Amino acid sequence: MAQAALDTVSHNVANANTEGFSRQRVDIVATSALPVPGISQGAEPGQIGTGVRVFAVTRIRDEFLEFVFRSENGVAGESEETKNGLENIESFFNEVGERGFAQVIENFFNAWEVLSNDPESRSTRANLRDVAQSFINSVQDIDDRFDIESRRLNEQIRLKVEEVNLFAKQIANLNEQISSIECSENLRANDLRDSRDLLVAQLSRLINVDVHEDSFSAYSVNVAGHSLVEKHFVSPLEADASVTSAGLSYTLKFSSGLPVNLTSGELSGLIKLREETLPDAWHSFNIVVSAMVNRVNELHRQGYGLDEQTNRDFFIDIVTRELYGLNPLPVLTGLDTKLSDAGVTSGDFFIGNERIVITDDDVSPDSDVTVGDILQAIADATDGQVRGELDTVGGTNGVILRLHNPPDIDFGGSASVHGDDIDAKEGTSNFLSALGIDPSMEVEISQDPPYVNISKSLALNPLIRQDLDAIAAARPNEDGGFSGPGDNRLALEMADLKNFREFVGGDSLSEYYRGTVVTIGVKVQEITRLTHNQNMIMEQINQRRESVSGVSLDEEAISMIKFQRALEAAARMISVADQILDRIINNMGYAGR
Amino acid sequence: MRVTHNSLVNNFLSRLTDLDRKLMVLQTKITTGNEFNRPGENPAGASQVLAIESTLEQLFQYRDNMHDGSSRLTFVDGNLAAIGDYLHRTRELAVQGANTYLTSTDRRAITSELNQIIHGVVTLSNADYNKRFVYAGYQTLEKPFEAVLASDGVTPVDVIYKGDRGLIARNINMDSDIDINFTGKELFLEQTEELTGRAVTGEELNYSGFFRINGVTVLVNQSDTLMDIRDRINGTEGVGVVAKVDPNFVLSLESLSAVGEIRLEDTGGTILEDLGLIMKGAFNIGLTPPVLPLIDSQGAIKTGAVIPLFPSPPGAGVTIDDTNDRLVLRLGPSANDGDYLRVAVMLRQGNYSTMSELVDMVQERIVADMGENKIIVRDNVGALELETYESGSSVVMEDLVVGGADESGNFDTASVLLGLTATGGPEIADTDGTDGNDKFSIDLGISAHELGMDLDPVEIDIDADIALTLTDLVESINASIRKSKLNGLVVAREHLGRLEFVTLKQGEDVLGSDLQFADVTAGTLAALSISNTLTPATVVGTAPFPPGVTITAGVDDTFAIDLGPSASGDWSDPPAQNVILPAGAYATAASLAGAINTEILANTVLNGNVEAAVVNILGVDYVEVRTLATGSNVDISDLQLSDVLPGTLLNLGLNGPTVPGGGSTDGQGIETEAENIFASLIRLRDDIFGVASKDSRLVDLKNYDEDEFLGLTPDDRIEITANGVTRRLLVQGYTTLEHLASEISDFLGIGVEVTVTGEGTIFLENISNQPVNGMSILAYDPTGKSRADFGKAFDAFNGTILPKSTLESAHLSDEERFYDVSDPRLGDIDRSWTHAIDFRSRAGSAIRRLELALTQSDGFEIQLRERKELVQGADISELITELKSKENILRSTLSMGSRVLQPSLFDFLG
Repeated sequence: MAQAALDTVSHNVANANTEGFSRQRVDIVATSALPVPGISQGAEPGQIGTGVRVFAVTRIRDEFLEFVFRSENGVAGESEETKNGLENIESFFNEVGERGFAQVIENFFNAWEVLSNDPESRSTRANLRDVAQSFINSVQDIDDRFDIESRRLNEQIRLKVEEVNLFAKQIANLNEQISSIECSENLRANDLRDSRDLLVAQLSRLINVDVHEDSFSAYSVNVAGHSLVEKHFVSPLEADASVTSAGLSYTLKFSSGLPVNLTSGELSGLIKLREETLPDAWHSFNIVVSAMVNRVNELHRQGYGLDEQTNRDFFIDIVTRELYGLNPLPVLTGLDTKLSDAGVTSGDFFIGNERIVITDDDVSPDSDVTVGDILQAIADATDGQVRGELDTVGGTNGVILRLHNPPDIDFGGSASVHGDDIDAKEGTSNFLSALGIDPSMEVEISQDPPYVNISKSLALNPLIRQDLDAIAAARPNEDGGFSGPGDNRLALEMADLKNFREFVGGDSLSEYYRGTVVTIGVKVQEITRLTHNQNMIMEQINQRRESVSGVSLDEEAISMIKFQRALEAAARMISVADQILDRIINNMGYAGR
Repeated sequence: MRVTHNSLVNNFLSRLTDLDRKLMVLQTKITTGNEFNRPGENPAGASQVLAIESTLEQLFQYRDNMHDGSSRLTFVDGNLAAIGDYLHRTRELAVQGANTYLTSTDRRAITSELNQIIHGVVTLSNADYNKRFVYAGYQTLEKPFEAVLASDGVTPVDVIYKGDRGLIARNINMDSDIDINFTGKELFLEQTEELTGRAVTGEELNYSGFFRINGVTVLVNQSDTLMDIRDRINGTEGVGVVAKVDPNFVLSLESLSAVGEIRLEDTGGTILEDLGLIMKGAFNIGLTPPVLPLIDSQGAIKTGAVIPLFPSPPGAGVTIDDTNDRLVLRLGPSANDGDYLRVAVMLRQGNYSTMSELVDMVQERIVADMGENKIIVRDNVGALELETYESGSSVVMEDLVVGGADESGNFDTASVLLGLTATGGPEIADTDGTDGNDKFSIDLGISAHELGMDLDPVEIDIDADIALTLTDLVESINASIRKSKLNGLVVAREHLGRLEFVTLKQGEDVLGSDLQFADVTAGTLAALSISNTLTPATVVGTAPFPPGVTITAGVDDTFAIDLGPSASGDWSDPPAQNVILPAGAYATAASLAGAINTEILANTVLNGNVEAAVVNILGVDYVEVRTLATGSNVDISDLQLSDVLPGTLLNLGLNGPTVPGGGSTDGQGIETEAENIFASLIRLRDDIFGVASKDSRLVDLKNYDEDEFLGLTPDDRIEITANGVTRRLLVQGYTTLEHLASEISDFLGIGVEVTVTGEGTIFLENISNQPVNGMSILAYDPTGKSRADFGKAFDAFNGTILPKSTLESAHLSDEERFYDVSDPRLGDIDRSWTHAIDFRSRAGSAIRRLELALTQSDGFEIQLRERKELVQGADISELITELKSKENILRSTLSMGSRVLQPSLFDFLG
């Protein structure tokens, strides 16, 4: 008995620092006393004990604490991920620093002020053009970061799902082993159970789980009311990939096809970030940019450049619709892939009312006509409104058709973009389907998440890039003609736009933008506080778990001494018994000799 | 509670991590000096900081704007100071001139200095700041002022402004801006006249015609809009004005010239009046003396006054045929020292072959009848014009009233027939094959004859060989007329590029029908486009075809034509005749006209007296209804259309205005003078110090006497070139200098006078108000050889020949030029000086305002920075103290940790 107890002490000490280990205790019981038979009985009181035996080795564990731990762990995981994501988004704008996006906007309008001070000069115009270009660069930079963050979130979601499934599988394995070992009441697979509990704890950080132990000592793990693990069976979660403009997007579902409703856990945090927080911030950012672009263009169209021309936009080219080709082109050739290699047949197809014809010669293997050539033909036929590009994002390498079209944005509430359709139609040629373009899958940009902002194709009007004189600083004179090179009225009005009170809804541009930044700031502050609190809670629970299940070395040392003494005592008893027997056997009976 | 070894470790670790985190935050705060660096750390503060930073950024920009504006204004201020110095010097010169007797040499010296001053001021007015001309409005890349030099190449006689009125502003804070320029217009040409019309709002003219601005003819066409008229004015060389149309459809003319004026003349219509540039009855045009031109060069009578005067068409004169003709003048208080003065001027009977003779006579009579000269009489481009001596804003137009009448009380112009429409001249074919000439006859009736005689038709020969231009044709016809009984009764002339015949007898009894033409050689009249008729009575439709009209059955399909006596063919007055049109769509004008004509043909009253026709106006077809009877006796009122079924005419588009055969002619010239810096300088020089100059001489004559014939033979031609246009004249045997002057006058449309100086020098002088450029006269014999001897007699100038009026005082005597310091012309200089000083003080106050704003912005910046510091700034000393205490805590934690973690019971077991 003492031997078994010492073994357990030794096991406890050895695993003092093992994660998930619960200290074990040897349950001992006294063996049944010997009954005294018949006649001699009665002279002596009491029964003769027969000794001790090990009944079971049990883990010391508080199941309620485990339950609390699992649910709080989910919240902690969620808040941790949310905090990471929000801090990322916060950093996109780089605000409160000296070179944030607000500064870029400020610079843009200040450049108009500078222009208004000397509208005749080329240098102030060049300055404006450069500042406008850096505004565009900033916009695209921030947009790229949103894009990358969106991709990161999706990638994270995929990885976490894999992790969940891995955990589920391991739990199922352990279930099987534990069930087979624990065939009687006092057989406990303590260490396997510890491993399994650790896995469940880790799983609970990823996803909200519900755990029950069944009569066969197996854990049934449920996620949102659906079984994930049952005995040694696993129904893995599936991450359904769908291609969007922002790369692959994953939707969670059970293998049964039912959607997963997450209430806590890292996965839940990631999905909420992807579906709410990030698109909201991105959307706000897009509103700022599109309001800028539209207001500036609207005013700029009214003005005259030094070249005495009017009615020109300052910024151009906003994509309103996109259409994806899901069949990838060979990586090496891309748009230079020959039509025959892409499996295109001759005939015609339509973009809107424009008929594009592909001849038999074009598709013959000897022809040099490439996919890119046909895309060029589309662009030519639509006056550049519909342009095909190679969508290399995420290595998809498919063709993407974009509708370039100034949007009509209603700044009153949620932005909605009304462009015409790309309206692609299959004719006798299979060009569209060969590239995997499904005309019905047209994506309207910046209306449904994921938000692909207008910023991607935002550019300066090429006229302005080529000729600084095209920048309008002058208002028309009373006859509607060019007033003169010294006229700076339009530049002044442009500069005043930054204080225009109705820029976005009822807000000025800087107010709206500030609102956007502060909204994220408040969220970050909130989640930081929540995370901190949650960590405190987790610490408390861990303390308590530790205090119940943790190995105290001092305690073990005392146990060790205790059991050592018991062993020594038992040994002493044995030698006493030995001496008694020796006396009886060897030294008794001399009196008769 | 059980405390295990691991709880101690975990506890210690988490405390330590927490401490480390706090230390890191503290360190970041200390190194950046900011309380927070990300919006998430303090969203409310971040919002404030963002707002403050945005405001600061703007503030810096506004400060740049202010510095820029301030330095520009400082530059302008210095510039204005220099201009002020010039004006000060001018005043010194003027006072000097007033207090001493100056010889002509002294005056020359002063004039020369004044010229230098004017050049100096022009240079200053063309000042540029960083290559941007400061007084040019928005036209900052072009020199705004240009001095117009006299033919001597030195003397500035006018200054033209090429800039605009654009004001350039700088933003100085979120809500306000400040103008940092003065335009040359307001600064140097402050009171330059600007005429504003209250025009036809976006409507189209329903007639064609022309008018003159500063003597330059501007043509307008039917269906011109106000914008078209503006473009026509601005597209005409040499008008000297900029026309503008403001958003309320008000047409305004702005003078480009410093000393110039805007002269407007209606020359045959009411265009200026219709445009609102000339207002009847309510004249109050500021500082200019009221001017009433009475008769324009076309013989039109003005302002409702009826004056029995007639200017001289070429070759004809003015005849006042009895002593009862008189001019009634009334001067009101503003023009006559506060009293009304009424006087009747009797016009002497006689023939006046030139306008100047008439002017002299009228002037003489006014002086004689009024007792003193209170009215200036002058020939204004062939029109008799009266002007009060008094001027100023208090002088109102109503205070010069002109009336008059002769016995009959009415002086309608005689009949006018319009002929050729082309200025290029007709091709006269030798159709009779006899002597190379075609002939037609003029039949003058009783009413057109002075003595009431009915003359037989007189044949007029046209020389097919020489009739190359319209001018030649007119000359040829007039030559024939002069040789005939018609001499003195009718004259041919060029009018609006067309051949026109005018009877010289006038009055209401002169009938158009008493001037009749007939072919002698068939086709002559047609070749000359002489119509024996006046315009038929016409109703022009207003509906353009296409789209055409549709008549709905039974609704609007009947109208009536009512012919009066003159249009009915037999002087009966037939009752109105209904015209019933079949229902249907009429897509073309011809189809509608055809339908109307079908009805007319079927109607015995209308048939032969009226017809429907298609007219094409500017490429669009309209239907018109017109009488077939024509002539001056056909009254437009004798063709009346009326609805039988209401709305018919409207539906058919036949509700158009009736267009009378001849336009009435009443227009008014407005002479305005500018009051401004340049004008005051130039006027001071010319009026006070002016030295006789030959600048107003068009042609100097070396070898001729005043009355001598030019000595050319009748077949010689004279070629006159001026303002870039050449004109050839057939010399008549009787051509004298006076004739030559009259030809030039007619050609240039300006007054030309033969002047003889005291020394006996003879020259033709420009007595109009417009300069003439590059004048030359050459003579050729019939073989085309140049008559060199003739050319030698003329000393023509290549430069700009100025109007006499600008140099008029050059011909005044010394006494007249004498003035004292109370002379109003000195006042002009004073006012100009005050004007410049006023602008300087405006510049000064703007600079002060900017400087104040700059100081304020400095204060504001400090405030903002303080606020930002308050919100975002970290309290370093507090942080350091905190850091120190945290560090101490860390130290003790670590040392305690090293003790606590180390031992366990195992360490003490033997």
